[in-house]
Amino acid sequence: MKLIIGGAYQGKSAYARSKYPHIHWIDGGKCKLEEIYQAEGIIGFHNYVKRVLEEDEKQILTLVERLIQENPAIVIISQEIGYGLVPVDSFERRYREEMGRICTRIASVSSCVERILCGIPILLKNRREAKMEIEEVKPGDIEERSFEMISEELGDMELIPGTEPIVKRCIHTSADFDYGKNLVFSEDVVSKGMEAIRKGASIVTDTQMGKAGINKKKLAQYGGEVYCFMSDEDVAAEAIKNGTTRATASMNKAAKRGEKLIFAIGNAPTALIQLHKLIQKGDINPELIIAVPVGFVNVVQSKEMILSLENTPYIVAKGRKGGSNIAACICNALLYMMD
Amino acid sequence: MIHVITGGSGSGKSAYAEEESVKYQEKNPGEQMIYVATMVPGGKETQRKIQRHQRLRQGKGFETIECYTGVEKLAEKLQSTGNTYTLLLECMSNLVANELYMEEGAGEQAVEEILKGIEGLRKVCKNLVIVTNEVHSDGRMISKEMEHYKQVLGRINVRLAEQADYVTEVVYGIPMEVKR
Repeated sequence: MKLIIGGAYQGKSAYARSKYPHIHWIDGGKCKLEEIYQAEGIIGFHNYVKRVLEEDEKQILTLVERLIQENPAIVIISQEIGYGLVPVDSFERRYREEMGRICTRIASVSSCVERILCGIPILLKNRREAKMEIEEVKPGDIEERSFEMISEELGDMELIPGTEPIVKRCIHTSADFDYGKNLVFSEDVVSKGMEAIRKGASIVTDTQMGKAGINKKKLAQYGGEVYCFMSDEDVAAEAIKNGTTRATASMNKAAKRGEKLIFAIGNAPTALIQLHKLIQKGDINPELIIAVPVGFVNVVQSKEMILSLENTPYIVAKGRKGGSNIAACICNALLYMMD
Repeated sequence: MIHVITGGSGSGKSAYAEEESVKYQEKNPGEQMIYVATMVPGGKETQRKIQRHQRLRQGKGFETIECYTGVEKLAEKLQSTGNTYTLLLECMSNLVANELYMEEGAGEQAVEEILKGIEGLRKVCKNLVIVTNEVHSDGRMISKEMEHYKQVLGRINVRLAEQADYVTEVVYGIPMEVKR
């Protein structure tokens, strides 16, 4: 069931007709009272309720429950009549109160309730109907359809211009709309990141999984490679010798390479902490740090350290969320934006 | 904390207000929950309305106090107990009518008296939930008297909302955040 409400002459019917162009509408002021139980849509539901009260008052008791039972897919357009002084006339009082109760019940079972004000719809309630029907989407269109759904659900959430493809791809990867809010971008980081790739920068990850997820073929077009030093023997040895994590040792190894590097860190806070240290000492100057480790211990703090860097471009997922898949997906988003 | 709840006729304001009050009270267990009823039982229709509200409240843990006028006195009485309360006042549209038209009402001083009363309640209530009514979107000028009533209620609503931490409009059972 769907409900569209609003004051008189606000453009409710026009809105409904354009939103549901294939529906056959009945007029609540004229239709037979029985018609509502089969109708696809009803315009002027308030008039219908008034007529029930006038013509066959008993029906008012069963109206809503029967409607829910017999015609749960109906689209109902109704005027809001409850905003005014209590009418002196007892019939008008009753009608007004019944309308409130009836519409409250209808709203409670409706998947979508909209209020039209000056022709503009305001969404009051939107629940995706628990339809378990399989959507027919061609294999090639699945990703496009996903992005469409993401855009729809994001609604008018404000994203920083130019970062939308990255935010949407993170949501696409995780089905988590928090990425609409928790991604922090340093100034011009998108164009700086793309420029670095174009000039042949390579990407360093802190997990094999992150490496696996990055589109290496695309990166190779510009001359870059993806490195993950985590399972290298020298890294393991250095970590044991110094009593650090392998991630820390990996960053040290990367620093020694002296080439243009982008860091895609989705797992280890210690990688970020070490990067911060190396940058402070002037031992490394990353083209971009993608700081998106997931988890609990030092995750939030290490990301804040990256956020404090003034001269290093970064993309940070503030808070606990992130992961190697997110790190890889941000790299891919940049690569696909370069097409 | 003040939470003002408004909406049209039959929109589910009361049910929502009760739910919210119970939630606030659960955060302060041991605090007494009071329902201030303002509707004067007159004819059959109001009796039925009152009974409907009583049924709705049943078993939720409210102690009902009837208060048709003079909220300030009620506040003083509550203050003398030394306790704090979660209090649901329902509803402002009746209270205004009572203060304006009942013999013991404040008459021309209605706005000031009611606001003083609310100020008093605020001192003894950790959580104060006030139900009011949106009766101002009806263009009809019925009589000078009714216009005056709308003006008084409107002024009080504005002042309440200024002081409120939360203002919610309930539209057909759907709470819409107006202020938080």
